Amino acid sequence: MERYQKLIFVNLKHNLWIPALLVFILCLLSPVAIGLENLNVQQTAKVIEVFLSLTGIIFLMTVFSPDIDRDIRDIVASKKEPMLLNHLLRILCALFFLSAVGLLFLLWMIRGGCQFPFGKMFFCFLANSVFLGGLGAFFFSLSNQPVLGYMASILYFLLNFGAGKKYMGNLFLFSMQYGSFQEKYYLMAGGIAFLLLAIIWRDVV
Amino acid sequence: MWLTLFRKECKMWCKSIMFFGYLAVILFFYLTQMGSEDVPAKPEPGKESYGYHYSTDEKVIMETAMDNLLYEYCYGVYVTYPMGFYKGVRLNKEKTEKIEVIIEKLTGKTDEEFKKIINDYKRGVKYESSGGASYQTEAAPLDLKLSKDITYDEFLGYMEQAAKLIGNGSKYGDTYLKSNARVPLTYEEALHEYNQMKEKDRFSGAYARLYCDYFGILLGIIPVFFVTSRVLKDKHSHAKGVLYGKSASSAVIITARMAAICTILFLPILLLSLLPLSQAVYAAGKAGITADYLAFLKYCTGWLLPSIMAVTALGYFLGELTEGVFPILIQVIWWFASLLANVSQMIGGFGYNLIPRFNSLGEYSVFYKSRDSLVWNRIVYTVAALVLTAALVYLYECKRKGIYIKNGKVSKAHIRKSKA
Repeated sequence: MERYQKLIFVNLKHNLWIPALLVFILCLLSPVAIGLENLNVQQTAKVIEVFLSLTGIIFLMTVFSPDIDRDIRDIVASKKEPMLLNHLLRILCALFFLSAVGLLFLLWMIRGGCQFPFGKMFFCFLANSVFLGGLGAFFFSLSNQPVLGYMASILYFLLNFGAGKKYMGNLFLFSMQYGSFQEKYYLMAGGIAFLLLAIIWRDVV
Repeated sequence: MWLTLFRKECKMWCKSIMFFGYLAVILFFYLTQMGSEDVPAKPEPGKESYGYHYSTDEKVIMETAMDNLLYEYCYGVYVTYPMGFYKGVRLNKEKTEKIEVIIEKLTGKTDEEFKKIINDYKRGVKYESSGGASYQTEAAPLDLKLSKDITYDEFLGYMEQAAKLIGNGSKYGDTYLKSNARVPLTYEEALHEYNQMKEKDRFSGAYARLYCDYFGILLGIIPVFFVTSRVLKDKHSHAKGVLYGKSASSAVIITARMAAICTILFLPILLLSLLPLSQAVYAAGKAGITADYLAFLKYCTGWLLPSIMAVTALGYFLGELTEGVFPILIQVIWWFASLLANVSQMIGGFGYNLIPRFNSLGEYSVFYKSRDSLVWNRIVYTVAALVLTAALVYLYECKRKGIYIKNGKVSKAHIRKSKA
């Protein structure tokens, strides 16, 4: 257990604190441009799906970034703890931060008088951000190029803007703005699958 | 030297997975956005609707804005979209009093008359509750109209004051004021629109504008991935040491790389434009005229190439400065802000936005009016790209000489050199 704590601590210190700080600043500055008071369900969903979900890319893209360099990866792999464990712990850390951001942001919105079903909105946030982050992490893992991961996630986000539900089907990111929740289950499943595939490709294959 | 390097870079990119991803994205984007665009047909008289347009009639603009202001004043919430997101603004007492003064001046009523009318109106509003929510069922008509003595210029002055009080993105600022006055097109207006598209645009111009509108969105972000990838490849493969020692000058290395990225991003866009061009040629043939075959080349070069150049130059500059994924973050923020900033005005109104929008097939007169602003916009971005490229060459040269290193310190090599 102590070893795991140390791995988590090192990950926080060297890998996660800058993204966490960045997300914190972005969220803190968001009221300048986005209304967070007296919103209805659709308006809240727009803020969550279009703005807050992007934090998933910021957090989950950190999973493989410490070992881009093959030499560093070899050193980490030579240690007692398997690489798989390292990556799983990093994913769990990222998900923990992601959940904390979602919870705090939604509580902030509730305090501002926004009316929405809390549980559903939180799941909507997690599903979207895990999918976008998972997609990026998967392409990062495949190519060992972080840029390709960012490109995949951001372009998927962009295509959803233009193409809409008609072309994106059950993987449409902005469904809750139009009152549909079903897509969120597919997005969550897809996101988890991408994360698992990313780890399998990186550590098992 | 330059050409050899340029060819090598182009070859490398053409074999990369990013380039294939880019091709897939632009094709998907084209098919989902423009693939099902109908061929414009000559309007027939007697139809129920000919679509809508933003009225340029000053009376319509004034009345629409006045109605909006009165409605928002009565309910105490002013709707704004500062970045494309809804933001309800509640004004404090002092600002509300200033809005009251503006309305009184616009309606020509005294303070007592105005307050009496508003109180009568509020008493007449009836609410019904259902499921814990309350909603308005009926309201007495509001007996306030815009004074006939107010000129359009005076009106604009009052609207500017209201916009300042409410904040950015309100319905009374420059951006939204005219786009609120949306009115149905008459047959004559629709026919005039069609004739302009036929005679002035020869159809291909209208298609090219729409094509540039869509692809401007993509090209406001994609180049940054290519340049950041280029910089990180050098970093992770430890190629810098080898590159720095080559005889090629920094200007040659930088410009050849940038030109290669711009070329491999721009050429597929030009090739893909053959598809909408064929649609335009078909539409022109149906109308009995010849399309302008060079329209897409002209529009894409003037409209899209400056975006590619500016994003490439900024991304490369920040990439060389930070040697990380920082340029992507900056570009995503800039792109997102640019995209959302003109959600309310997607036809014309280019300003200095990175992504000029003209989301309409036709509307030549609207485009013609704002054409100069588009030209200036594109000139500014082209010049900015050239300035950034010069700064980048200088930065690269400094890095090569060892003057600049990542933490900003002057390297020992440089100190030794200057001492010597």
